[in-house]
Amino acid sequence: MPELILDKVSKIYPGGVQAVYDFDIEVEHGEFVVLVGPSGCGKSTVLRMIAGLEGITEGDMILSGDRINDVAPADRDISMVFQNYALYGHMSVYQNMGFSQIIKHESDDVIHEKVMNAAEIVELKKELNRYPRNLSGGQRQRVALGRSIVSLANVILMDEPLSNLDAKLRGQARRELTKLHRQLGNTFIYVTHDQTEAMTMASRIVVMDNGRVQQIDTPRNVYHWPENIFVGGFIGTPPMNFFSGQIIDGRFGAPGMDMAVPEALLKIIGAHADNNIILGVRAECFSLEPNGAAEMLQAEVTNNEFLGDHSLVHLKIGDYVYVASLKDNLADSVGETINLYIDMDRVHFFDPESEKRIRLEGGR
Amino acid sequence: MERQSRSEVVFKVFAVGLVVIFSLMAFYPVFYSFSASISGKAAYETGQVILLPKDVTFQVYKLIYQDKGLWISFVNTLFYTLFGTAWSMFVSVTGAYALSRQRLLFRRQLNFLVVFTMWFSAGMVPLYLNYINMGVANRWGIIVAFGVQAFNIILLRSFFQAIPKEIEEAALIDGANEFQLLTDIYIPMSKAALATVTLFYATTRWNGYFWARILLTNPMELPLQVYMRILIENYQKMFDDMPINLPYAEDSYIFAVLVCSIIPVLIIYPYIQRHFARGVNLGGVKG
Repeated sequence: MPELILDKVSKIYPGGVQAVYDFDIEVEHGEFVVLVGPSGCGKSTVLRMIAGLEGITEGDMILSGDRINDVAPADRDISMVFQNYALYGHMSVYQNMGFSQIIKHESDDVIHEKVMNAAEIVELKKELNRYPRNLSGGQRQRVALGRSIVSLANVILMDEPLSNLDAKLRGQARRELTKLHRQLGNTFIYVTHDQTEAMTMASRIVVMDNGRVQQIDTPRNVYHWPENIFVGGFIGTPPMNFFSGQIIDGRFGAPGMDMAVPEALLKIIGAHADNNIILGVRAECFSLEPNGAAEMLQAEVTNNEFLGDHSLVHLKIGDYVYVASLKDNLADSVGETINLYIDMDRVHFFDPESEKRIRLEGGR
Repeated sequence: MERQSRSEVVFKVFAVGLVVIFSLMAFYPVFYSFSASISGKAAYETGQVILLPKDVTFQVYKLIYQDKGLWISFVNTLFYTLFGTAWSMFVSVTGAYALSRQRLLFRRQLNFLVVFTMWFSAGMVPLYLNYINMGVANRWGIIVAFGVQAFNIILLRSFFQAIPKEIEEAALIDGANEFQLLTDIYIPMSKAALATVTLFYATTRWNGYFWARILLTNPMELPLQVYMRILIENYQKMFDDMPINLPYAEDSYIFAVLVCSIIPVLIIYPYIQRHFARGVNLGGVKG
């Protein structure tokens, strides 16, 4: 049985603003679910509803088999790590971590054991007597994590816990969180607007936009099989390139492009073939050499970002600029027109009306 | 050290000068009272005491020591200050906390009512009648009736509101109830504001004169300030029965009473004055 079920959960704020529409998900125990989306997409609201900090307007929320719509935060089997850590400034690290147990009037021995155990996990044993104001950002974040661990909640919620850390520390913290998740085996539900965090840590990603779920799937599938244009454009750096055009006689035509579409894809496209259509191409589907179902096109190099093992090459095709990720450094070719290939086996077509990826019924 | 521009130096000299002048103005009466209280009769009455005492004698303090009424009023004032401040703080903290809650029913209206008392107050006579009718003209009545000042509630409310919402949410998830939120989170995190407001109340209570004078009729319940005032009004009579050749002037007695009344404040003040300074800055918290 899933540990946490959100069944058509909606949130309408007083005043009529709807933040979340019909949110559905079933989370198994031990999953690491990451809610990702641009700011204002409703991901934090979902998290806060799970925590019980926001009421649920419609729908049901079920945790470990019990409906928890109206259960107080403290009585839900959850804990939460906040973006600004929300540490109690007047308490030592030890007291911060043990607060949930102190409140429950646990015996000192029990509190001590739990806090020491958590401190061991988050490597804060030496800092237990210090105060939050004397800790670094990374340490504060670990105190907040430690606090969650002490509460022994089955579900740990995290609201952008890494966004106050600098880039270097963030990478390290990501690895530590993944390790911690493996070690604890709890269910993690994590909110971020940073897709790198989502891709690197999640066992499943929930992509949200405008209060609606766009896609729920593994990072791999979200990346390779985006459900719609939004997901394709939001997940992946650089984002997916989109070409607006038409399919005529089995060939995709757009300004500056005329390419044969593989049979298999044509079959999927089916009825959409006569209408306008949008082609989605990941940056790494471009290459200078033909491979796979390669189709050639010409493009003007407008910029080249050298990143060491690869380069992000900005290409002007038709009137628009697209980004390709190429092994080659084209710094010397800026301003020139080059021939390049698109691997048509790895592209997707989207319906310009619904913005959804065109797929076979029941197929991928 | 940083180099300062000419105008900065001028400003500093001006500011320091001003502070010195005001400090002297405040200090002089205090010191003069002390000097006058221990100066000899002749020296005082011929106007020789300007700053330093002359012909020092502590006789007058002996007289004060023997004045039972003074000691009773002293204890009364301590009582009013201690219990009055405790009561005021209790009401203010719980009130401010409630008013700081977003989910409080009729929050806006209640806030308005509190603030309203800062803008308008009834006249003296209605207030007096009101107090008398409520039966507060006694020891405990004074403590309860003069419980809170709207300004202090607003100050505390603003401070509570400035504490990040996430802290409260974290505590809620940790299992704190509303009461624990207040006692374990909000109060300890607002120490500076609480110290300031406590101080405001304590000084008001210590110096409380007007209503105590008007409402209290039982001489055993009078606070120090009222007792002193009565002394000043009547001390001439007291000296009528005394020998003429006292070593101190009659005025010295009053000065000595004054000194006695400020000694406790002088002792405590250095320890708490930093909170006072901080309290002035608290106004900067969004209101």
